[in-house]
Amino acid sequence: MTADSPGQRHSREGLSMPNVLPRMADRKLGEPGTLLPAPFRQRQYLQLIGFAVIAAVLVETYGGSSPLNQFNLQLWFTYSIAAIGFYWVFGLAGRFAFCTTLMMGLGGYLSAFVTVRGWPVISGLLIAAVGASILALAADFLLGRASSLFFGIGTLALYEIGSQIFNYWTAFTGPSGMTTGLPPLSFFGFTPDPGGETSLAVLAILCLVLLFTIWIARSPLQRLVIAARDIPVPASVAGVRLQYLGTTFFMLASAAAGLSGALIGHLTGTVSTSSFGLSLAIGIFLMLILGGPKSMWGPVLGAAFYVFVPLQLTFLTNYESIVYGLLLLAALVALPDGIVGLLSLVGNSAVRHLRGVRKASDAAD
Amino acid sequence: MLQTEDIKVSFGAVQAVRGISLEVARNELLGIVGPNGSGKTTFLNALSGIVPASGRMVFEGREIRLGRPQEVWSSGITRVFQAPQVVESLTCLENVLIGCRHRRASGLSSTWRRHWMAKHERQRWRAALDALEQVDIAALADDKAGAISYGQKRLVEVARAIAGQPRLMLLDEPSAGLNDAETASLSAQLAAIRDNGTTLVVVDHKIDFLESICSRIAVFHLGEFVASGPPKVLWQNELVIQAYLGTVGHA
Repeated sequence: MTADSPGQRHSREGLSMPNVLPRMADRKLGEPGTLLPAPFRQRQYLQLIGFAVIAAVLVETYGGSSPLNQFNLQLWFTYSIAAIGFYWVFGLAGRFAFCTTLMMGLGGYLSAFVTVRGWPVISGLLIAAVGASILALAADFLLGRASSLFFGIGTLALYEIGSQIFNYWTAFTGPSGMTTGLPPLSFFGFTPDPGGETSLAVLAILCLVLLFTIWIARSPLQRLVIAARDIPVPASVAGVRLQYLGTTFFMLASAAAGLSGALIGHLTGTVSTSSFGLSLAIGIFLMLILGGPKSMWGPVLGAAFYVFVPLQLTFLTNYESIVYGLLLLAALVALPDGIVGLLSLVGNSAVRHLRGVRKASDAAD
Repeated sequence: MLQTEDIKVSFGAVQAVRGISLEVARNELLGIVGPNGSGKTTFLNALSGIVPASGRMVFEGREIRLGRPQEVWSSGITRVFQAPQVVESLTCLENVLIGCRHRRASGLSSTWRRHWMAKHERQRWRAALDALEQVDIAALADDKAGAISYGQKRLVEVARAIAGQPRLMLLDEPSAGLNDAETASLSAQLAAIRDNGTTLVVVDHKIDFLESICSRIAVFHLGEFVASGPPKVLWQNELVIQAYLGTVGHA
């Protein structure tokens, strides 16, 4: 039998139990033994460092073995950025924005437009993120008051309109909607080699996006947006600004998607509408659902799955859509918390098992 | 403190609230009763700004536009719902933090202005813990709201309303789903909130509960205001007997 937490004891003993704790508000918060809201106690920074180290090792080992492997790692990192944006808008804010790939395409074209004219790549990346978030603001102005379902349908319509504009506005997107000759990534005069250095540069950008996600989690913003998502009416009566939060997270997600699209453009040297089609939009949804929609690590793991697993299943290439559809169904039914939930379950079971073994060995001694 | 004039709420052809005018004095604990469908909850919804309504609402001398929950909250009015409305994936402390009046450093810039945010967060944490203490559930602060009992969820919601530092709190059937001991505990807590200077409007079906805490009770029937007065006097009112129990003969 495990020891009860104070809350569990209180729960069993009834509602009218006198308050046995010392006056908690008198304690200095943040000191040992005092209470912090849950997200402020988690070890997200350590997790981020761990992820950065593992990913850097993969760049040197797995990526070092062939240029294709290196490119796949770069693709994983860039898709992760777009999927994290989708986690912000869908996982946290609960808004199904189906225009992620439109924002990726816009980011790619914007960065291409300025960098082929001699602007530095870093300014192209910034313009991509800002441009996509401005489009999101405009879209939100039209769709902001729509219900969740109609917001999703509206963003799908936006994707369709945007795709057609990209195809026909050749002065901006190039002949047949394709811009070529994008310069490779470079930062303040430093141009990384196309192999490991470029992968590490993209990994660094992904880590910055993850760091921002941690900052969201460790701020009032996350609990307010979750309240706006789960209990919108009571939240609005409690002074939570639903519209502001919805718009903010849609803009942030679009900025991440725009940045991701621009990075893909600079990694491949081309931007075309076919790179940001409907199948990638479904893919980004799959990344989040399969990886785990409740954790910032879900989209990263989901993107890894999306990039690397098909490489092992090349014999199923003709049935890709069916496989993705089945995976989505399987994830929704069997793994509602995705790969992150499964790993957490396995990890917790292992810890419990190890504790049990230790207790048994202590008892035997 | 609060004056409502001719508040009307309609859902299509159905008029749920038919021109209710009511005054609530400062530091009063007003109870509202009435049979099912009498418009009590809808009236509170109208005052909270979450349903479209017509009429006039004046709070502390300032007119508040109906249908604007943000404006209602900003003016110092908070609300507790009939069914506990908590975010089950968050802890009780975080649920209370959602309602904190102190809102500085809680927007987007709080994500990168860490020290500024932390300074204001500490103030919010203290306020939230204080609110949990006021309803005697500080021990649950770190428990997930999805893992606590129905009655405790209700207290978390009351704590969230307290954290909003209201001058007027609207409560919709706070005793629903609570046993006798829990109801008695709730009565004491509401009386304490009133003693701290907050005016309360409580809708409930439990007459004993309301009689034990309210200085005045108002009766609604079919979306209309029938009468109000001290509990003992009110039940002698013929209109009230007719509205609440049927005809005088039946009563």
